[in-house]
Amino acid sequence: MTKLFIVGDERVSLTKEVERLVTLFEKTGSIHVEIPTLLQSDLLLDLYGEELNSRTYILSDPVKGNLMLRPDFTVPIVQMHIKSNEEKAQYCYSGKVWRKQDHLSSRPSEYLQVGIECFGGNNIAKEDAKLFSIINKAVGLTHLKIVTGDLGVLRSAINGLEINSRCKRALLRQLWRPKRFLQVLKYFSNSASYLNDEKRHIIDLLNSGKLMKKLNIYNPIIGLRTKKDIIDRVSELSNDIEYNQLKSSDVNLLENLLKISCSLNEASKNIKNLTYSHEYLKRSAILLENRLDYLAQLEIDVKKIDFEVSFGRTSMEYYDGFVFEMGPINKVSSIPFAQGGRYNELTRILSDLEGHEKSPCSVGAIIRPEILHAFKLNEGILR
Amino acid sequence: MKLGVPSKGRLKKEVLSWFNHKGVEIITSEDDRSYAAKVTGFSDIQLFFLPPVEIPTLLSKGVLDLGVTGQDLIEEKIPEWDNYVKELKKLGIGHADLVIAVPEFWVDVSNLEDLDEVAKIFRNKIGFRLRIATKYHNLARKYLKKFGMTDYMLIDSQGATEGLIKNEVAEVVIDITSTGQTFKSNNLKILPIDPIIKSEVALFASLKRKQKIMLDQNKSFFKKLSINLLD
Repeated sequence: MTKLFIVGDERVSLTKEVERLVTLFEKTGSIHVEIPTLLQSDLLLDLYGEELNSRTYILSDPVKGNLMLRPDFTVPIVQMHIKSNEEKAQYCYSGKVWRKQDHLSSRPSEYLQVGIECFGGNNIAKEDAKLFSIINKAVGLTHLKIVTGDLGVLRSAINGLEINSRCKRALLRQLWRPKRFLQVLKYFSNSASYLNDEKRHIIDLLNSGKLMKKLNIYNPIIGLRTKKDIIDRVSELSNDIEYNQLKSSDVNLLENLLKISCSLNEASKNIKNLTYSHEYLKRSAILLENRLDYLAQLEIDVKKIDFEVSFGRTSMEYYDGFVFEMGPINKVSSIPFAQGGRYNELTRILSDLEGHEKSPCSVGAIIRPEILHAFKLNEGILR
Repeated sequence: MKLGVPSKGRLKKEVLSWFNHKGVEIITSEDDRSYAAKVTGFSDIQLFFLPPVEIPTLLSKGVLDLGVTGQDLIEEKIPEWDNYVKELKKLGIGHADLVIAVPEFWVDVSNLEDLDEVAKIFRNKIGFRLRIATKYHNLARKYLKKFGMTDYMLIDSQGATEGLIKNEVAEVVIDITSTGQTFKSNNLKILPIDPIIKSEVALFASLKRKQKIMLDQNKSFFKKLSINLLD
């Protein structure tokens, strides 16, 4: 648990730790930026969705509208970078973030983050490895529990299946929600068995040309969704039951991929073992190998790093490639010292909003200095 | 001991008559608008007429020792409510379900999976998230999060929620209903799935007060209501 009040020598020592991290990040070529504490909330609310909104503090301002107490640094830094019109840049920051906790727990609602965000650079594997090595060095502990993942593996696996785009989109959309992912997987393996009598009746009406007549009974038609929207969706459902999108071999492949949990240097081999013919997955495996090579070149002991295909799926939705977390060994439930990952898609969405056609590749990470510092004090590494 | 009861309307009448049936007579002032009242024979009990929506928080803070309100409001207003209040007795009134309602003509939507998919299609087409109007933000969010719903946002509505779809400020409604009639009158249908919660009106005790002390000082009151406080 982090303390509410940090006093005297401990405060001096925590401040030094934060300064050490920022200086280290600056030395790797980061521009130190200051981000406002109060952020315009509209865009953030739309971006994060209701799941995260419930965890942000909203302050009302009668003139400026609602403002959000900074829940993280990434989005405002991405926005700043996009507006700069630069392609390649690396930024670092330090400051507090605020997040409501769901339960009465010892987890703090306000805490320090020191972080780094890297944009541009088309050699993704190299950029991932470089960021990882910076964070590893910054944490500065030899004994660490490090877990990594790559959401790109599952995405590639789905993109490479011979299924229609509706099924692909449905699976990709649920990457971050394991329970829903399995539901969608089951639905597209045997759609007919998931549609109740009422739905079958509606589909029959569509196929016999009577659905519009049925919809015309309802009066008035209210809201923004139209009768045509409904007919379009019913025809999608009708297509679903025509033939099953997912073959049992597809389901097996995805299920077996999700089970992969090994050391990072065996990840690529284990993925390749699952399939010989899947071109997309092969490319993912090669990316893993390249990243591994770069990590080894940077003198990272890759044998000690864990890899799980499903790692990062329940964390924030904006990570879509390489993800990692560093924490103390033997303390599974404690808050990690550091975490980070690739978020090309988030940057693409924000670039889109600014009307930019091109969007830079993006990877970033945070360190929680209070957690790291408390651990170092406890272990006698710092005084 | 401080007791909070609903201040208005049919609910007030039903609650007072429940107490009367149990032999706890509450005498209200002749003036119907006055909030003053006495509990006959229990001079130590202070009675407060309050909007039901305010009773949960007053209980959780220990401002009230006892309060009559709906289970729905207790769960909505007090996170991890069972750490703060305890249900003593259901009154057998105010039965209502918290449900999800959509326009009647959405013939393709009958469960959460449908709603989730429609939310995605809607967001892609219209450019913003599917809007769900409710005053039960915490219950709605918790329920939808447990399912794994995305691409929606909650819109605050403190009343006449059923009319918001017609006014095109929401697409879906989450609200409390006992008969479903208001939904029907506004061209909405209730999704045929289990309600988010089934609620009724009950007497709750604040856990801020030591239950043993409260019992010792008000034995005959709890006996009349056939409540064993230490259960």
